[in-house]
Amino acid sequence: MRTRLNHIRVITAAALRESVRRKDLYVALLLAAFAMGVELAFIRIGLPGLTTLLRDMTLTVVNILATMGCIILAARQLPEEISRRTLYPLLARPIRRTDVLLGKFLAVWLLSGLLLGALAGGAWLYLRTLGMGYGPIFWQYVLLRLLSFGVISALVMTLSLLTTPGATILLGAMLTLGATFFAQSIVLGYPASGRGLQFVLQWIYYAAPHLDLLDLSRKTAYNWPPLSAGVILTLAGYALAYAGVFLAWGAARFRKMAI
Amino acid sequence: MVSQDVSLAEAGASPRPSGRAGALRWRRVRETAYLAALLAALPLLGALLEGAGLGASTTPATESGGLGEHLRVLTGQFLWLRIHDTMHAGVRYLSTEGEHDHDHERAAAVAPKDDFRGWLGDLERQVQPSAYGPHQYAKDPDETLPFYWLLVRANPHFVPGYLSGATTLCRTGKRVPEAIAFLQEGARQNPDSIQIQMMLGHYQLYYAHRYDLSQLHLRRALRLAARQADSLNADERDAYRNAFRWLALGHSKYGHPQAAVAVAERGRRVFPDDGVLQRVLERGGTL
Repeated sequence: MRTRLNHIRVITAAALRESVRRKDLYVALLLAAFAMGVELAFIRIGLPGLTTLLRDMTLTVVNILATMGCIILAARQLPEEISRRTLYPLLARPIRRTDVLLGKFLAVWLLSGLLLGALAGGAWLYLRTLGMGYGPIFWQYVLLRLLSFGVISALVMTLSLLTTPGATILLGAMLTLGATFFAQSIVLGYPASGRGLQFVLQWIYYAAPHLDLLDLSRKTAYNWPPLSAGVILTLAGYALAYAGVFLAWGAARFRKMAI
Repeated sequence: MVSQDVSLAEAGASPRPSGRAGALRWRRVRETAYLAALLAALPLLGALLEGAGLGASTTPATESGGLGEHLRVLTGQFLWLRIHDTMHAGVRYLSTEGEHDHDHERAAAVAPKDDFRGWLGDLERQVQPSAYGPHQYAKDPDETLPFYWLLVRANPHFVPGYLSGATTLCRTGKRVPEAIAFLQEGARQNPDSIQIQMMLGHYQLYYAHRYDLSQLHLRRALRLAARQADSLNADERDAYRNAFRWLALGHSKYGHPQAAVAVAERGRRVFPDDGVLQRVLERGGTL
């Protein structure tokens, strides 16, 4: 067990170094700085009353950039290693494919967390300086986003083993950024549907991961009171369960893959 | 330890040209199928929403106009939604226009007793701003004022923006001159709006105590309404009715009972069931 943990740790560290070397994170940080510059211009032209709009826009920028960062990082891990054939020496060693996948997954989750930390920390400081700071619910928002990146990383890494990198990014973006829309559509369309369709919609709703449950940005933008510890724990369990399901699916696929 | 699920021979050496081409083709077919399934899901969702009667837009779109005009309308729609969001502290509401004259919205979240999702629904009501959640939370309406300012600049022909903005400014007579100036700007941009003229007349009479100016606007509202009588929507008909009421009440308040009776009689010909005009008539034009 200790050997396997050591393998996972080494693979995680190598994936982290590789991602930093590719400068993926710098692009996201530069885009965030640009978006916040635009918001600053908003304030300078004399619209200081738009507090909630600025809070909301800032969180939207953080959400989109961090989520896209997570998707791109996850989508590139295994396909690039396979196409550049750098995975072969790794697989030649006595390392299980499941451990390779877990190591890469942890690296993506960690990097996404770092990106989220940088973006959210910057947003928090930025709005606090402008006197429009977030309430205590902001830290719950960061925690839940971090948990959602666990699910997204696992989902996208599994997708990357099923489709091409381009399709993985497209599908990942549609499934994660459009999650709220899909869930809302099912809930709203359910009462007007026939019995048969209601049955199908119910099962789709139960089976699909609801990433919108892990997004507190609307409550944070409008400064709602924090959630109770029980709700946070339930959501953490929900996120970890889905991450586990996707990782298990990915591992099964990776083991069977002819590389 | 050599893991059984890592095979070097399988990993590097054998390119298997014949099987690989087939696998690649099969993989492309699968990817196309995934994307097609996702794209097919979108119209299905649209149909579901349509079936639930939730497809209506909250603001009118321009019938014609270039890209710039459409962008202005879209920006206006975005800001109109932002105003609603801000007013309700992020709780989502849906337009149900057409169902009731005065009740244009209902909560987007499903009430717990009608929710098929069980504990997942309860969780969502905790996580997202919800009309059925544990906290009821409202924002100061003043926070919406900058949105109105932006909205009427983005789309100066969006009449509900002026009406709603003036109502927010004038809440219980707080910022009357600003509300009137806002409506006057709306009247300049929309000279044929019955609703703006009626509201201006109402504010001049009730809050600014300018009987003369109120007469001007309310009479203009009546003229516009009479001209468009066949094509008035529900809101415009309300404004038409209110113009009669405020005009009659203004005459009564400022000591012109005969004029009040005359307006009430005219109004009753258009709105025979109106109780306010009936009372003006019963009291002989006095308050």
